[in-house]
Amino acid sequence: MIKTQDTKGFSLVEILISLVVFGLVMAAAGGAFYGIYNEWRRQRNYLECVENARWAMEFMSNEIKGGGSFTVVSSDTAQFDLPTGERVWYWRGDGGTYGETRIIYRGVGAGFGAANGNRQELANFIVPNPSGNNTFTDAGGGLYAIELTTRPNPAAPVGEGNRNYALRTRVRPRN
Amino acid sequence: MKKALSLIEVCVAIVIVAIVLASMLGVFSKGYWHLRKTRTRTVAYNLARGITEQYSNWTALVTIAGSPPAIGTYTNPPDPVILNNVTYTPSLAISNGPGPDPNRLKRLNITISWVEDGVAKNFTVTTLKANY
Repeated sequence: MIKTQDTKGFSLVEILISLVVFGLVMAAAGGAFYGIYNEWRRQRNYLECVENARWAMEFMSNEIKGGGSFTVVSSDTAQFDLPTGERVWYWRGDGGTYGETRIIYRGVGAGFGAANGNRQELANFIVPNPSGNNTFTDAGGGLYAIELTTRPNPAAPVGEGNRNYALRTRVRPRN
Repeated sequence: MKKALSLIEVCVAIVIVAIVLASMLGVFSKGYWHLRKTRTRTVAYNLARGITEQYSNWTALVTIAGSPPAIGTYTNPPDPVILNNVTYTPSLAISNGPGPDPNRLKRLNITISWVEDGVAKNFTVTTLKANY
């Protein structure tokens, strides 16, 4: 009987098994990387929300502290005067002329329109406060409350990976 | 002589690589843990600062603690606050400030307490308030 099998090469079965093993390994690795990427993106989004709310809160309370004649113009708009005589406005966009609703703006001007003309963005990812509180509230006794809520995707409803993050503080204008 | 790797050897190698990769995933869960910690501590910091502002006025201090403000720890007010489904309980501890006239200079310790994963946490901000 003539021996036809060549022991130097791979048999079809060996190649098939190796392909299946390789496929399983790649599928597992792909799944793991997809999970890692999703988790990384989720953490980055939440961090951005925390950073935006924290920075805006810090900036606004520091500036308001140095100001005077603080007035809550409406639920999401406030104005005050700096010692330099400039009038500063903070407001959440109205979805029209005064900017996007997911942004808190700052502008300088005697009137709201003038301030809107030189507006800068203070914070992004803003949504209405789930507590029902306004962005700016007169807490009485010369004290004012600020509350901000952010969400990674403000346009989408609250859900997995899109949770609210709220910050609240109080500030006393000193001038 | 057998030169190729057996299926068992390949499987063992895959398992070792998988264990190494899985241990790297711990970085992400640790990252999430730190993120949550940052979230709650930032809320506590902002609330503490708000209470510091509230009592950065001698009249407000007299309203809660009498005149001159009596040494002690005060709660309700300042009232608890619920934010992001966490209850933050503030307390205001008044002690004498440094200097010759403690009745005119007080030290305020504002502590915010909350529970995270069943563990009690707190964050304290200290300030001085003069009657001027």
